[in-house]
Amino acid sequence: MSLSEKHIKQFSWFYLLCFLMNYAWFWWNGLLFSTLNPVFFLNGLDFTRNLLMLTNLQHWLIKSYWLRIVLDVVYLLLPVLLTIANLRSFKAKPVIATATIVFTIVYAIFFTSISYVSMQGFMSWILIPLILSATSARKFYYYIHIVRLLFITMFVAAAVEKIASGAVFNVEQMSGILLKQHGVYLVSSNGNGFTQFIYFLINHKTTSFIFYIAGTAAELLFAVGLFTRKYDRLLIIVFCTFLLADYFVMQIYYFIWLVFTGCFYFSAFPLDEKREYN
Amino acid sequence: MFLKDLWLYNKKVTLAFLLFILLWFFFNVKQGAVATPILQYAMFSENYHLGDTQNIVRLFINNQPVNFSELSVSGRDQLQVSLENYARQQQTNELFFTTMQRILNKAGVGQWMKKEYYTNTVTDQQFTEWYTQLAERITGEKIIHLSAFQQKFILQNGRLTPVASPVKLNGIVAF
Repeated sequence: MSLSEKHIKQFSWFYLLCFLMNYAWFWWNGLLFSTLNPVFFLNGLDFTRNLLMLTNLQHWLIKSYWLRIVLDVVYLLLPVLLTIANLRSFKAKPVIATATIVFTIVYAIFFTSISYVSMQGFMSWILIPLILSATSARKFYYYIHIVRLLFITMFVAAAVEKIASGAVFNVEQMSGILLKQHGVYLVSSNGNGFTQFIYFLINHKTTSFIFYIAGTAAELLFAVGLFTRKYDRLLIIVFCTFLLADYFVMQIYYFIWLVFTGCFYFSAFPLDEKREYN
Repeated sequence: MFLKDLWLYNKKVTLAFLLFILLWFFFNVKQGAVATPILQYAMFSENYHLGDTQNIVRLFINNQPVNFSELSVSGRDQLQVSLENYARQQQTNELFFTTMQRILNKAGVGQWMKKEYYTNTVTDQQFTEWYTQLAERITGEKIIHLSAFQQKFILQNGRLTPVASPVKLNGIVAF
């Protein structure tokens, strides 16, 4: 079956579902501007952030509760609007998608400056609207593959960094990471099952190192996707396993990237009158 | 090949895509500043060791130590990272402002960077009030007394063991 308008609509539903699930998780944990009510911000070595801070929005955000509410509401509404635009085939779709991308960059830059959430996570909500700006199956096809390649590059880069720094040759690496990641938890815990599990991994450095190597291998495996899309369904499984392990072992919430799996699912559909590039 | 197909389809999109990748390579090789949405993806790539000293936050509510293992994943991070970020915000913001202004000066933008825009005006008292509310929401406890410390630990006999006395975090003031 070749790509059609129907697939754009399916992807839109998937995007909205993922976005709402993440928004709900953030809201439940008080991770919105209006629930955090920040009193200070942290700058970073980021050109875009520093240029946006010329507007002094960071101080307005701290001062104005209503501004925080407005930002949270717009952040929620734009993906909903983008999905409706796709379902109803609005002509203004590219404009809404562009607005979503630009607004998400602004929202994420200021939100990450007042919370512990990392900017990298928001890349999903910055890149996926590009796909949903497509006004034809052909555009949808090219945008899916562009975002898919960007995601692969990001993910593989994490593995390359680990090799370049020598971390993958350090047997103590994972035990050291667990100590750093769960230090506060371990010190205050009464010794529950998770504490024992983490201490077991810390004290069995070879076992824990296998986790680290498996994680790096999972990241590196995505390089296959640069040459073929034949294994994309397998990569979806690998990625979901990676996210689950990240949550249950590292206690890091990275399901914000789950929406990228859509690119690996829809990559299997060829474009009409177009040969597959693998 | 996809890139060739993309080029034939739309040259502008292809150039934008290649430019993004090139800039991304540049920022990753330089390992310094980034330019959102062009970011670095290091993810635990620096070297860690079992002998590393851990500087750990200890929080006391109503004179009882907070058991972080009973909190949600996010609640734990919020309580810990907010304290750490507040402790370093003044110094970090000052450093980044100086660095970025020097770089952006070359592009003629640095002159518009007003230092007060990049500096927090929050006082320890205001931070304490905010943090108390945050801690009450996350722990579900009514806070009458709150104190925070950092303490150095190392792994000894398979357990994290304190190797120094706790140091009070001055961001939390007595109330």
